[in-house]
Amino acid sequence: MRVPSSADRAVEALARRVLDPVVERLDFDRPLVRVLAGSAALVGAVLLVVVVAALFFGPAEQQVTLNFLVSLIAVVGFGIYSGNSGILTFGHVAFMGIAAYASALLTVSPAIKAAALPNLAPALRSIELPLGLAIVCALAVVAIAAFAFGFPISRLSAAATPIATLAMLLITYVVLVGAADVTRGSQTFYGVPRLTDMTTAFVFSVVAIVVARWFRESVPGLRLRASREDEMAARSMGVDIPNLRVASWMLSALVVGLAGVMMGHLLTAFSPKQFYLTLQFALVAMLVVGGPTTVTGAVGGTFLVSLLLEMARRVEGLLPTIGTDAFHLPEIFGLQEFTLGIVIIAVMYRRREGLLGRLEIDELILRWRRHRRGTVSPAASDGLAARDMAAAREEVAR
Amino acid sequence: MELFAQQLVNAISLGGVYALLALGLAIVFSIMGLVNFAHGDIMTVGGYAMWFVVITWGMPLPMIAAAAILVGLVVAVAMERIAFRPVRGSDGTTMLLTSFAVSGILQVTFQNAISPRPRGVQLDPAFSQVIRVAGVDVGIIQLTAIVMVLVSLALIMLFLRRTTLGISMRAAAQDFSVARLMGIRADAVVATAFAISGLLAGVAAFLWVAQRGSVDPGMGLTPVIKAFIAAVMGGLGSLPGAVLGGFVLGVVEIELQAWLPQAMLPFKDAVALVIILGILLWRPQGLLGRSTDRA
Repeated sequence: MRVPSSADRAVEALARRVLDPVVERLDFDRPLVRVLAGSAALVGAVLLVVVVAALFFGPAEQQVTLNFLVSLIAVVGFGIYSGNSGILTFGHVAFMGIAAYASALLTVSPAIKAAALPNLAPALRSIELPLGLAIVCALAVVAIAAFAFGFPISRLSAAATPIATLAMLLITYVVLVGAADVTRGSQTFYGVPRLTDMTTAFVFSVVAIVVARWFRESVPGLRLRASREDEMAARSMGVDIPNLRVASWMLSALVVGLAGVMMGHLLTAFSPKQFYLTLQFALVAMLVVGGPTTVTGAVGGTFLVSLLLEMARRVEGLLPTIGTDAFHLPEIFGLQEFTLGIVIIAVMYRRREGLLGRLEIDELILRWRRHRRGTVSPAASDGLAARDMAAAREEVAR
Repeated sequence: MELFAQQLVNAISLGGVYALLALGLAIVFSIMGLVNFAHGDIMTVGGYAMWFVVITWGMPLPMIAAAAILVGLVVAVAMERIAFRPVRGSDGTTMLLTSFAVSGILQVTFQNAISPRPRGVQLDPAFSQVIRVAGVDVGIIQLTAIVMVLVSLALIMLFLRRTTLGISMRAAAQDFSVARLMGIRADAVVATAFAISGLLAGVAAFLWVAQRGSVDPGMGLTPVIKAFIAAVMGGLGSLPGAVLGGFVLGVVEIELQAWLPQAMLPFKDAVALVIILGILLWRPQGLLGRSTDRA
């Protein structure tokens, strides 16, 4: 038996004062309660990161934090589709690209457009919208593209789908490069107003987290998760898998599109290359490392991998400066991609469901409290996951 | 008529490369359920082997081809042994992600060990000549491509139909666990599947690099994405389907090259892929796929 330290006692006291009254008043059998409690816990964690970065760190770290928030929106968006359906997507970055270009076209000042895009249609050239309207229009474009791709792709088998999403990314990339009259082709699209700041990025992260958590607990989400666990069984119970996949695909594309808008207005100058495989690779790693099946996993994985990538970036920049005139450490390219590869392989070999892929954060906290207070035996609290499965079955039967 | 013959030659030589890659992917997928994203990097290694052989020894063409094929085979088998054995038998997503990560690591390795920029591969100038056969201009490279593709496919077919190992591979492709119950050794079958896919990727690498004249770290990516799509279009897991899909994609691309208006040419690849998504909308299980797919 371990002797509790003073820190242990402090945590215990805090939990008893603050956590227990909340946990006792909430009815965690209601999905809405789970959505709100889980989202609140995640949002609190993200808020902590944002506040710490804003108060204690300089502009460079704040930029990293902004990147983290944008990645967070995108990864949580990926998870709405991949996590619930169990099918990985290698193409959703396409929706980021589409949204970034659409929103940029609508917000860049007419003077810049006249210089950068002389062949643009007059109606588009004179337009200049505020961010809110631009987001709505960009998401409308994303919705159309998402349906056009999602409808055929959702009819494919689970093994063929990731490849088809890759084809979707390739198609979008080729179109963005090819449509030089609208996008400047492979050249940099510049002059995009910098409208993404901590507040907007944080607000949209909250939106993404709540939407993802709500979809996960909703009836369609539950059915889709059932199809992830056992496609045949779910189908035999009348779950309409293709249409559920399209629905989650659309919702996921919209959230990812939001991340694209944010990223466009954060970069202020970009080319199609920035919405291609490198970004896709990084975002997939974030989702997979944290655990695709939970929103908690998506948030945690994004944080962890963003941190690792930033460290890799700094090491990469630092390496050539170390050493004497006679001996320099060699310059290393692509240390970030290398790190991503190693992290993915480590997770695949050791913990396939991801670091946080088993339970959502509210389930973790609940289990920890029940376990500590001994009101429920550990064996019964382990049954939480089993209860989820039973609830899913019940829901499917309905 | 001549135009048609000309296009047929072009389509077979391009589609043949896709068919070889798609067949390699399909063999591995049908046996162990792995969608091997790193297949393109096997091709890239084959290309670098050609570059190395050319600049160090300046060997004759058949030796260069042999180097690409041999290196492709060895790399594929090593890849299975080192990277994919720990995840064998797990779900498709795990294996796909592993191959995705392997691909990323290999590309970074090429960038650092060789160069991020393309390396030129100078082959014998006689190889890029054009000859006239029955009124049709045929490049020697294209002719070689057609011959090598047909020979490779014929040899693979003979192997799969006539040898014990080949027949056990087809059995394993149909149902891996039942095949094992019949006493077929899993390791041998999986290793052979990777060997064949690496060999085919080596042939494809030779033909691809011979046409482009250079090799760079990301070279394998685009042809392999297309080969993937070809395999899906043919019916993922069906070996004849993969070959058919490869040739169909070749025909579609060559026709688009010939008939698309000038303004649309930058979108050629996108149009080809959209057409294939259209075909998949019509037949989601692929041209030769079974309707009850394996999960």
